[in-house]
Amino acid sequence: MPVAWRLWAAPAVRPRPRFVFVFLRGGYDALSALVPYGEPFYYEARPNIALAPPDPANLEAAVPLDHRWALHPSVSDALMPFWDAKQLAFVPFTGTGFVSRSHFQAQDWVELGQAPEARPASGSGFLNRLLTELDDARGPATGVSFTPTLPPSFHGPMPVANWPLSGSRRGKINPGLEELILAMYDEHALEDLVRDGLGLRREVSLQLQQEMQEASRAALPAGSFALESARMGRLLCDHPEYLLGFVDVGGWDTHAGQGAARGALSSRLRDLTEGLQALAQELGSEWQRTLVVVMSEFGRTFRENGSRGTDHGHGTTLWVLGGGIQGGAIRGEQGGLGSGDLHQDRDLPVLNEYRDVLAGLLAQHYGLGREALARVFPAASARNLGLL
Amino acid sequence: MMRLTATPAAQAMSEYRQRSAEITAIQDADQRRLAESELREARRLLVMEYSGGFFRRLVSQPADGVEALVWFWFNHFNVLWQNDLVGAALPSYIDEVLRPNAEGRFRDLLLGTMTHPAMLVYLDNTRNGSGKMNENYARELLELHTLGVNGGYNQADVRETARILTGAGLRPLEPVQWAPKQVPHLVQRGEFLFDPRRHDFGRKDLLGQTIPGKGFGELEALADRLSRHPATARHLAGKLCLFLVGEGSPPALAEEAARIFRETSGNLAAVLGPIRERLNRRDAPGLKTFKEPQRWLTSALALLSGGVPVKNAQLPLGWLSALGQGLFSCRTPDGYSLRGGDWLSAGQLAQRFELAPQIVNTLPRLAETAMPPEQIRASPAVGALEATLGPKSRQALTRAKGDAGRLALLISSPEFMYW
Repeated sequence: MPVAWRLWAAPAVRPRPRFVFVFLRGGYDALSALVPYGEPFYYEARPNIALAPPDPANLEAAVPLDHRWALHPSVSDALMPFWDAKQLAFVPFTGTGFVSRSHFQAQDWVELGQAPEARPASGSGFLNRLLTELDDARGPATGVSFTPTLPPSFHGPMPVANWPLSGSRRGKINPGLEELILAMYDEHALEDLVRDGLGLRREVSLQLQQEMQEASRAALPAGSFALESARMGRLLCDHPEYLLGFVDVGGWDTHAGQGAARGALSSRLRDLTEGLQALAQELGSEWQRTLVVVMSEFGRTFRENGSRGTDHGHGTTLWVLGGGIQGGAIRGEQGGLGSGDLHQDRDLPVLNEYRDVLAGLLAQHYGLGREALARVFPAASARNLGLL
Repeated sequence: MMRLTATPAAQAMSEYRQRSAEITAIQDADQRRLAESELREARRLLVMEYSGGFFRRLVSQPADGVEALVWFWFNHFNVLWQNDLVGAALPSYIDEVLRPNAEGRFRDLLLGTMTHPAMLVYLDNTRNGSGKMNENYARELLELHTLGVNGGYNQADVRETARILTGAGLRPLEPVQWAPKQVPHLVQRGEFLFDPRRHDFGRKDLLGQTIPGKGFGELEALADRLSRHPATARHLAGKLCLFLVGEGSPPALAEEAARIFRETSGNLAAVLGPIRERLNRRDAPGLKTFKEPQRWLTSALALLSGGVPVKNAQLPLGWLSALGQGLFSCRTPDGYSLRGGDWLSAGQLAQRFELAPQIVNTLPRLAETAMPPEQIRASPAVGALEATLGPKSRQALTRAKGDAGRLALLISSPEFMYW
């Protein structure tokens, strides 16, 4: 059994590649982040919420990546440096191999990562299965989830520590009580989890205390993903055995008044991307061997709805970031975006099954063989995006 | 400040709908947003106050009492109060459908949920109409509420179920001129309306039987069919055993309960008989289940309050949210997991350790009559629990700081994490 907390005090283990999964719950509007400005139908379908085509004179215009795609101006500040350094790639037309317009169902599907026809009601999550494959002779492998409860992605036999980083409340457990608690759990079946939990909790608490004293970090807005990510980066830096990390970000269900260059969605996107920037910064040299995937359970409707928002759709855009990737490109299979190209005349079609995409990335990132990969993503066919 | 009427329970739903409609008509966008947020706040307040009362009753009753069963049924027929009308419909859903039927006939309970706005809105059946089908509710009705995921139905059954459910939704706010031939088919109860204009009157073939198209009667036939199905008996009996007896519940007990369910066509009082009997004898070793957050918290409160009612439930409700099992707050239709093991995580344990001293220190102020730690510490319940502790926990207790420290340690002990 891997026991993170006990190993933390041990000499540094040989660093291995790291994977962080950033899950956007609620179905983010991919077409507002990676804008298909080269498609006339995009402007036709979204008269009120489309981002203006690239125009150096217009600060509210999208910022071009190539002849077809551009970035939302609120994300370009944080993401352009990654793009220019080839540390960022986008995979549009990505999604699940089944159609569910239900958040909970689609989220579970994504997190469990089973084959589309399996329809599992429960079971292990793909990150836990990945952990099982990584926990081998090369060293301890464990995962960490920066959430109050263990997300389905991490459900399974491998123990995983979890603690949320978004709050500002520093809960206290006095050391005397903690010592007595540990004495009660000495040699108990839960001892490892108790140590992991107390250890991670204490560490986060210390970090929050430090932040209070350091003006620079206090400057990040409370409750922001940027603040959460900076904390995440520092924790990961300190603990190389945390090979897999999970965090989720909510607030993407923009059915009404989502705005364009400004507005609710714009703020969410800015916070998200500033968070990714903060994560990379805090990771420092660790960023080189870190792979980050950002995705959502589904995309939103191609056309805006009657309340200047968008409804639940299907295909979405997956982001890949990492210090060691050959990015700076739009990858995966691409389709047309005319009115006749939409899935059910409504959504971005899915041409890249997300499990195939993740399987391809993780196979290369961790050197997983075919059999190991089949245990993590049953019946997936790994897709090589040429990023690693 | 805007308030929604709390009693009678169904009143809030009507007010919420009326107000929503008025808000939609507001021209000025800023004013509209303001009105929307006021309505949301009123809905939040209603749910908060209702939750407080519910929680107080839950803590004051035994683990197999009526409120616990109501909790079970809410969890089984879960809805999300943040979802539009659902919050305003929550008191009616619980007080008028779940509680009256909690130990009655499963068929009535089921039909009650099938015709309640809370469920119909939450699972999108208000958008399910003839020719414009939405299968969301139909699927969950079979998978979660009745037959269970391996209950032997297929996609065609989901489709036929959805067809039966077409037209079950909300009454229009504007008056409707009904055609004479539609009038006999109308069924309206408060905000619920079976709308024959939206119903698919064709014949349905469900689970190997035919249900002739006859309107609302199809919903009753569906409730009958599903509650008499052996898969439903198996599914429900298993869940009740898991909830009341825990993960160590013997398979024979679930079989017995399922048999009674089948033979009585879902008479819940009869089904609960042998389960309760078993519950009262569940001291056999090896049957321990990790307490889900609510069970841990309510058992701690019961232990520490010495039977004195809690007058302010808002803090405990906050603790419950911190532990990840906020009351009426599960976002997914499958409800919270009843398997204790699913709740076991490093963060869950650490969160309990962090809350334990807070609970011990705050509780005397929450109870109707304050109980100082030394008095709680001397109570028979605490004495009885301490007697069951293993040597390591007992040893640690002797080193605790003061009575409060000792009580915090007690509810943090490994023994107290299991039931």
